[in-house]
Amino acid sequence: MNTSELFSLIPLMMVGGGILILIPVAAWKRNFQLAFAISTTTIIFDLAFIFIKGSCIKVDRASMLFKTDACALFFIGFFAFLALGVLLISYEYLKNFPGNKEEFLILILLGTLGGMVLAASNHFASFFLGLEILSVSLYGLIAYFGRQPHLEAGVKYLILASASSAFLLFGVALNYAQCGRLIFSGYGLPLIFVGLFFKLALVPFHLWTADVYEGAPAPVTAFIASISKGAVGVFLLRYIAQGSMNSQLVWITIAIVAIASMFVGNACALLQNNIKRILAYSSIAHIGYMMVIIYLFKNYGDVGGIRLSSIMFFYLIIYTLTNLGTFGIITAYSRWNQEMASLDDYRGLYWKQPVSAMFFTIFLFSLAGMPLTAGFVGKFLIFSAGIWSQCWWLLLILVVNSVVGLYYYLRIILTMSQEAEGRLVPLPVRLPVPLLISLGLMLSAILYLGIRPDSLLHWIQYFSQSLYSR
Amino acid sequence: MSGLLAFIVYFAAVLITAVGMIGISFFIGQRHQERSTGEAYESGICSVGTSLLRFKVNFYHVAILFVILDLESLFIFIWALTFREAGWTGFIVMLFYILVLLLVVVFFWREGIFKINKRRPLPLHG
Amino acid sequence: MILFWIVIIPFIGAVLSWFSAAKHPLSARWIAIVALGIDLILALSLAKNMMGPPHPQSTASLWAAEISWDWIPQAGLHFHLAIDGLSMVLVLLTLILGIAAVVASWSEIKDRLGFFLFNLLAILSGILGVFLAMDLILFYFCWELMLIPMYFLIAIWGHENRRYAAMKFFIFTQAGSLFLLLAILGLYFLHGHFSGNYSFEYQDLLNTPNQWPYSLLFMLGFLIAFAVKLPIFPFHPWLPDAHTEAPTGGSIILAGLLLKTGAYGMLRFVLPFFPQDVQLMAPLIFVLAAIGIIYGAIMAFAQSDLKKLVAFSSVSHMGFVLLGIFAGNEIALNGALLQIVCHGISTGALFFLVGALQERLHTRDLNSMGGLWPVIPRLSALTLFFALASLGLPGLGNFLAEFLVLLGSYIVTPIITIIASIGLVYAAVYSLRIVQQAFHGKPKGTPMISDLYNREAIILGLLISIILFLGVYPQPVMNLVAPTLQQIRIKPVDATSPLEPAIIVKRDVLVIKDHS
Repeated sequence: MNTSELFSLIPLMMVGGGILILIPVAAWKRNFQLAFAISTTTIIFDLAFIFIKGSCIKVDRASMLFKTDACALFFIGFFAFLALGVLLISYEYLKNFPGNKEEFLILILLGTLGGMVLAASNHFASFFLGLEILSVSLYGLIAYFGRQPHLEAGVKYLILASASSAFLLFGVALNYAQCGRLIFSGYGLPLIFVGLFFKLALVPFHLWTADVYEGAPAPVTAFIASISKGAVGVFLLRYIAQGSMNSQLVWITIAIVAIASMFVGNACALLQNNIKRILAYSSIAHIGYMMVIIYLFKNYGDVGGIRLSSIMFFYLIIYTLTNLGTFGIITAYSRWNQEMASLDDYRGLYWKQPVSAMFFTIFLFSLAGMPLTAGFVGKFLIFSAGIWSQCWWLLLILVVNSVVGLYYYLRIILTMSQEAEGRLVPLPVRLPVPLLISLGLMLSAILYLGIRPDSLLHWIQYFSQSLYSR
Repeated sequence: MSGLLAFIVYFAAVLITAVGMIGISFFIGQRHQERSTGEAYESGICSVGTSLLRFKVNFYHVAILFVILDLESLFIFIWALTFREAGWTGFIVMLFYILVLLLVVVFFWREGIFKINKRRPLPLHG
Repeated sequence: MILFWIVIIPFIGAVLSWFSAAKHPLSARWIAIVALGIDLILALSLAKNMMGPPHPQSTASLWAAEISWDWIPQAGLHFHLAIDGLSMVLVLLTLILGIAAVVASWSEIKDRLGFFLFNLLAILSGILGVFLAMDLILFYFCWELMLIPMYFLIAIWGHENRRYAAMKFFIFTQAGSLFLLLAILGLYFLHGHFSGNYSFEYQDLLNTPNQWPYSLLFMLGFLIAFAVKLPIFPFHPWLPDAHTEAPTGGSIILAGLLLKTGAYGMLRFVLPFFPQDVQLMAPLIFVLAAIGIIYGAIMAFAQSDLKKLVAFSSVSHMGFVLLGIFAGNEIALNGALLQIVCHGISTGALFFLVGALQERLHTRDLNSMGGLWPVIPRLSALTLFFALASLGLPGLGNFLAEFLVLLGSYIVTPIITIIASIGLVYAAVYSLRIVQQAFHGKPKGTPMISDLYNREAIILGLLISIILFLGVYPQPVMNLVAPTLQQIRIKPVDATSPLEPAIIVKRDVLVIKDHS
C-alpha cells in the first residue's frame, strides 16, 4: 500500500478517527454537547474532504479490498450527508434521555462507517465486514433506550439479521469454494441474494420491516431507512454489475421478488394506522420499484443514453433523502420515551404546525411521485426504462401500484388536514434548530432534484461508468 | 470410492467401539442402587442447590468483554506469523490496533464494568 | 414573456393573499380579484392583437405569442409556452370563471381563508399552464399541479362527505395521469428513435411517424387521462362526488374548467397526434358519448341534491363535447368548442347559484325547497336563465353549440346523433325541474333570507352577457379558433370520400361567412 492508496482511504479513516476520538472523550467526561459537536464536525470534515480533495484521489482501488473510484467516493460522501441529517434530527430526541447519550452518537457514526465500507467494498471480506459493522451497530441502536418496544424490535432484528448473515456467509463460502478467492462472481448468488434482500426488506424477506420500523426509536428508523437501505442497495448494484448473472432463473427470481414486493408492500400499507408501519410497507414497495430497474438490466444497459444503473442510483438517492425527511418529521414529535407514530396523533397538524406539515406533505408527495419533487423524476425514469424495454405488463403493474400507493400517502395528508377535535397532543411550540436544518437540507435537495435532476444525473452518469470495471 | 470406503471403515470402527464399551458394561457390569451410589467418587464435592442460579449482569459484561478481547488477540497471532514480511508497516499497524483495543478497555474501565460488586443505577424505565 | 406573466400572476396573487389573509381577510379577497383582473387584461390585450388586423402571412407560425426557455435541453425539455386561438379562448374562460369562483366564496369561506385563496389561485395557475404549455412534460407538470390544490380545496372546505370525495377525485385522476405520462414517454422515445431528435416539444412530436400498434397504445394512454377528466362514461364516478362535496368556488372551477382541460387535451393532443387511430376508435367513443349523454341526463333527473343534479348534467353535456370532438369535422369541432365555453359558463353559474342558495337555506335538497321566487326574485330569475341556457334555449350559446355538434356528427354517425339528441329532451326535463321545484309551488317554511348581493349579481350579469353574446354572435370566438381547428380536424383518409363535400357545403351555408 503506497501513499496515494492510503490517501484515497482518508474519507473512511476520518469517520473511524472520529469514533476513536469520541470513545475516550465519552469515557473521560460525559458531555453531550461536546460529543455531538465532535461527531458532526467529523462528518462535516469528511464531506468537505470529499468535496475539496475528492478530485485528487486518483487511484481506483485502495487495496484488494476497497474501491475508491468516483462511485465509491460519491456514496461515501452521500452517506456522510445522510449521517449528518440523522445526527441533526436526533439531537433533540436524545437531549432529555437520562442515561448515556454519547454512545448513541458513536453507534450512528459506526453504522455510517459500515455503510461507507459497503459502498466501497470490492471483495467479499470487506463487504462482510461493512455489513456486520452496520448490522451490529443497528442492533445496539434499535434497543438503545431500553424500553419494551425497542428491546422487542432489537431482538427481532438481531435474530433475523443473524440468520440472513448466515445465509450470506454460506453463499460467500460457496463462491470461495468455486473460485478460490473472495472476489465477486456469480457463484452462490441465490444465497447472497437472500442476505441482501433481507437487508433491503424485499418480499419474502420483509417480515421484520414493519415491526422494526415501528419499534425502533424514530431517528434510528430514519437511519435504517436511509443509510442501511442505501448502502446495501449500492452494494447490490456493484455486485450485479460484476458478478455474472447469465442464468435465466435469476432474472425470473428478480421479477417475482420485485412484483411481490410492490404488491405486498402497497397492499399491507393500506391497512395500517401507524405512520411508521405505513412507511415501512411503502419502503418495501419502493425497493420493489428499484428491483424493476434491476430486472430491466436483463435486456438493455441504458435508456436513450442514460444507464440503467444511473437510474437505479438516482432512485436510491432520492428515496433515501425523502425517507430521512419523513422520519425526521416523526422524530420532531417523538422523544425517547414517547413515539408519536399513530395516524391520529397527526390530526390537525396543518393548523397547529403549518411549517412541519408542509414539509411532511412535500416529502409524502415525493414518495408518491408527484411532479416538482424528486420522487416524480424517479418514477419518470423508471417509466422511461420500462417503455424503452417495452415491458408493457411491468409498466401496468407499476401504474397499478403507484395508484394504490397514492391512497395511503393521501390518507396521511388528509389526516393532517382534519380538525383536531379537542385532542391535546403535546407538540413542541417550535421545531428545534438542528432538526430544521436537517429537514431544510432534505427538502431543498428534493425540490431542487425535482426541478433540475440533470445536474445529479450528469454526475451519476459520470461515475456509474466505472461500475463495470473490476 | 476408496476414500469413501476408508471413511465407512472408520465410522464403523467408531460405532463398534462406542457401542461395545457401553454394551459390555451394560451386560457384565453390576447393578445396584445404594445410599451413595450417585455421589462423587474419589474426587469432587457433593452438589448443593439448583443449577438455575441468577448471576449479576456484571459477570456477563466481563465475560463478553473477555470473549471479544480474546478474539481480537487472534489477529495478533496471525500478525506474529508474518512478522518479518509485514515489516515496520505491519508493526505500526499492529501498534495502532492494540492502541484501539486499549482505548476500548479504558472506556469500559471508566464505565465501571470491572467493579463487579458495585451496583450501578440503570437509567432504564419500562 | 407575457405568457409567463399570465401563468405566474395568479400564483403571485395566491402567495400574497395567503400572507395577507391572516390580518386583513377583505384585502386578501381583493388581492385575488385584482390579480385575476390584471391577468384578464393582459390576456384580453393579447386577444385583441390576435383578432385585430388580418395577417395572412403569419399563418406560417400558429402561435400568437410564444416563449421557450431551456430547462433540461439534453433531454429535449423546454419551458415552452405558446398561445393560439384555442388556448386564448380557454384562457379567457379560465380567468372569468376564476373571478366568479373568488366572488362565490366571498361570504362562504371564513375559515382558513388565506390557504383557501392560495389553493384557488394555484389551481388557476395550473390550469393556465395546461392551456399554454407546448412542452409535453411541462403540460404534465401543470396537469398534476392543478390537481393537488384542488384536492385540498375539496378535502378541507368541502361538505359532509369531503374526505371520500377528495380521495376518489385524486386517485381517479392520478390513475389517468400515469397513463398519460406513459404515453408521453412512449411518444418521446418513438419520435426520438425515428428522428434521432429526442424532444418533448409539441411541434416536434406532431411529426411522429405512425407506428402501429404503438400509436394505438399511446393514444389510449392519452385518451384514458382525458377521459377521466372529461369524463367519458365509465370513468365518471369521481365527478358527482367531487362536484357535490367541493365548496362553491371549487365546484365552479371543477365543472367550468377542470373538465375542460380534458376536452382541451383531446383537441390539442389526441386528434393531431393520432389521426388514424382516432378514426379507428371513433365508433366506440361515439357509443360511449351517447351513453354518457343519456345516462347523465337520466341520473340528473333522479337527483334531489341540487349540486349532484348539476354535476350529472355536466356528464351529459360533456358527452356532446366528446361527440363533437370525435366527429372531427369543422362544424362539430366548432360546436364542441362553443359547448366547452358555454357549458363552462352556464354550469359555473349554476353552481354559483346553488352555492348561494345553500348558503342561505343550509340545504341542497330540492325536496325541502319550494316557493322561493317571491322571497328571492333575483336569484330565482337568474337560476331560470341559466337553467334555460343549460337546456339549450335558442338564442343562447349552449343551443348553438349543441346544434353544431349534432349537425356535424350527423354526417359522420347519424344513428348515434339521433340517440344523443334525445338527451336534449331530458335536459329540458331536469333543468325545468330545478326551477319548478325550488322556486315555484308552495313555500316550505321559507325563512327570511336575503336576495343576491350586488357583487354576486354583477358577476352573474357578466356571465349572462357572455352567453347571450355567444348565442347571437359567436363569430369572434370562431374566428379565433378557426386556424387551429382547421389544423386539427380529422382529415378523411380517402380524399374522394362522399362525406367531405357535404360538410363543406353546409359549412359555407350555415356558419362560416368570413375567415377566408
